[in-house]
Amino acid sequence: MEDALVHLGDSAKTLYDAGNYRQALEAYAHLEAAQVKQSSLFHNMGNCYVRLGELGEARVYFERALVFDPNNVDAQHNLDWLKMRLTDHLIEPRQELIDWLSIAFRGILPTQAWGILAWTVLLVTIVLLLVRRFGRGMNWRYPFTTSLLGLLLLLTAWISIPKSFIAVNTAANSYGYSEPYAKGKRVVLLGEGSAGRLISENDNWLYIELGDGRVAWFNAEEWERVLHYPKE
Amino acid sequence: MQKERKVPVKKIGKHILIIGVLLLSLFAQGQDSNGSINASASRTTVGLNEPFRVVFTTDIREGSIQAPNFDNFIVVRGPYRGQQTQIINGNASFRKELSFELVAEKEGTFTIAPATINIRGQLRRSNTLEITVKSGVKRENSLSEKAKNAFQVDILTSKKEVYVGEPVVMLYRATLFEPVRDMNIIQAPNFENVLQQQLDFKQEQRIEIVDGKRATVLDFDKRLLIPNKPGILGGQELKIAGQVQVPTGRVDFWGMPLTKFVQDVSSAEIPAVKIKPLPSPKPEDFSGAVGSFKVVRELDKTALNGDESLTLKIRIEGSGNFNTISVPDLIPPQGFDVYDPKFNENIRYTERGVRGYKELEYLLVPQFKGEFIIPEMQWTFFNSETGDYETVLLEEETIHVNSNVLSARDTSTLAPVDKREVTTIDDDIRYLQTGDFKPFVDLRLRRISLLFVLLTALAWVLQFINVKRKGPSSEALASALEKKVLKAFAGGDEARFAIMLNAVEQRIMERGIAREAISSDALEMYYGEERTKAIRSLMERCQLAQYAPISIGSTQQLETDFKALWKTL
Repeated sequence: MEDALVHLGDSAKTLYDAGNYRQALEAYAHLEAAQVKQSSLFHNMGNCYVRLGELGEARVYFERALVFDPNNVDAQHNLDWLKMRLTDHLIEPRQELIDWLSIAFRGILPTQAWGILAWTVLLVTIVLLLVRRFGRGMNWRYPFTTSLLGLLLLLTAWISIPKSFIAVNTAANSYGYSEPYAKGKRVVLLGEGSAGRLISENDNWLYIELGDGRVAWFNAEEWERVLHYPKE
Repeated sequence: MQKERKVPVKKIGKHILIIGVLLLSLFAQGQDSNGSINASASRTTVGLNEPFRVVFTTDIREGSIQAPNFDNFIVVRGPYRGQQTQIINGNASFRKELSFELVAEKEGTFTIAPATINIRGQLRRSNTLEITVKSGVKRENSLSEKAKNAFQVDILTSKKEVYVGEPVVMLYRATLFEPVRDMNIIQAPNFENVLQQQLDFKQEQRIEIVDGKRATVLDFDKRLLIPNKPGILGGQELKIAGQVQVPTGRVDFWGMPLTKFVQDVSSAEIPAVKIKPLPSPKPEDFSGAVGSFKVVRELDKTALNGDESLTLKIRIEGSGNFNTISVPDLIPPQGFDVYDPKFNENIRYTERGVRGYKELEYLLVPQFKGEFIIPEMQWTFFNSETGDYETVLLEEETIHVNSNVLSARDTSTLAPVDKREVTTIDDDIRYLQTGDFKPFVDLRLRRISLLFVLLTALAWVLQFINVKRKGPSSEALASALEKKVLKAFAGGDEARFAIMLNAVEQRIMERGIAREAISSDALEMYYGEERTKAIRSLMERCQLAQYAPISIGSTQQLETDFKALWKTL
């Protein structure tokens, strides 16, 4: 299985080098379908979209690459490059404190590493408690300290779970409406690659807050979320 | 010197005497007054729009006359206040009056309520006046009759039939056949469910021949009406009062005819205007505009360089309710900085209606090179000419920005060439990232973490639960003790007697008897008399043997007794 994935990745790279960006993208999409969730995969898919001129989709994948690895400097560079070429000079979507912490923690260690660390410390705690109970007496402060440390590490792991509420316009133009139906009043027009923070959704409509505080309903078919839901 | 002083003193004394007598007589007269208040009218039968005078008089010095509410009448002039004091042959009289000039609002017989005066808390009332108002009544004097029809007033409306929300311009026009001064509106039409606004305009007058007579035509007021409910607008009356210059028929010393200004009133009813409802259902995006409109979007260019700007105008023009509508906002196009718009308007209120335009003028500055779309716009209004709703669609337009704006801006900040700084010609994305792709291993972080938390909690709970430890059985302990004692005796251990004594005591204590109670009756109650004796004997011999040497035979006897007793303990 892993060999097949490695082979598929090599094929995609060869296709990309040959300028067959669409085929390369399809190969990478197969990897994504095979549950590969590596930052480098999303970075490469973003590259394919850039070469195909689909800047909105490219932004989605560069943002996704950074969600899974905030230290991916190549993805950050490519995203900055892309933003310079996007037509809407919108302020970046608002970032909550929890988002900032999540990125900071993932920048230190991957989520799973935080989890394994927490489990290890909790396992030590359990052993200490058992020894204290059934073996020779032990000062309670030792297991208490490891308990706190383990829970703190678990909390860090939970916060660092990749999540993103950012949505990106992948259509050439997307009208924002005051109400979630096409006959509502049009309040804003955004170009491809514009991003906003998803507040809620209603059927086929996304209620999105732009970086400058404006809110509007957009057709969900024209927008793509960086992550469809918080994933481990 | 003394004579000169006496003369003025005598004169002053005379004056004081005269004033005192006058005041006394006046006071006496005032006391003699009957204290009544009287109402009178110049005519009790008057024509419609014929001014007449109402006077309230009293001889009471105190207080002031309070006029009644003149229901069904309009005060054309007044109030006028006056008072006079007369002394005839030593008899002083006082009179105070309050007068008004009135005109009736409609035909009929009306009663003017009494005027009142308050004297030290006591209210005195005048008589009431009954006034009959009829049209076509001959006026009271020739001058008043001459003033009649000296001017007339008309109301002109821009339309006879409008829709709800459609504006109607109402013009007040006066036609003067004689010189008239001090014209003023004493009653203006008042409408329900109609937004009425007085318009600023320049009064104009011109000479025209009306009904074969030369007349001055004066447009003196203009109002805008916007009905907000269907129905009929009409019946309301406008009344104008003015002073007409009327010849008296006499001439002055130089033979010039003498004239007099006589108050007169003219009235006009607003012509009926039918207000029709807007058809239902209204479109959801109906802007509220009613009339005949055109929406225009103008771009001064569709192709420009990066350092140029673009002017975009959105204009509503035509006729209709401009006062209550606004120009649709521009949906900000991508790729441009959009500045706050400038607002322009030119609206004319004429007998033909409200015409003109309203306009928003935007300045757009391009941010990037490329093709950009000015988004499409829709605006829905009700066309009063076709009687239907119309939606104006302004389609998308494409703007071409030719030179790269960013490059143009960067040029000004580039360092001089001789500094030889490294300049990026153009940036590009970074290449693909390599590495083995592996499927995501789902560690089930949440579930396993929950399991660890629960286990830790359980381990903590265990710390507080008292678990009874399972130790060796009583028989095993007894056997171990016995072995220990026999081993000590077999090996000739010096402490063998102490070991035996301890073993016996420990065995007794395991039965629940305290060390202190071994010498008491408690031991006897548990083991019986015979065994208690044997136990005490054994213990005493062990104690003695610790301090005094005993024979080998006694030692063997002690060991034998121990073995026999131990089984019964």
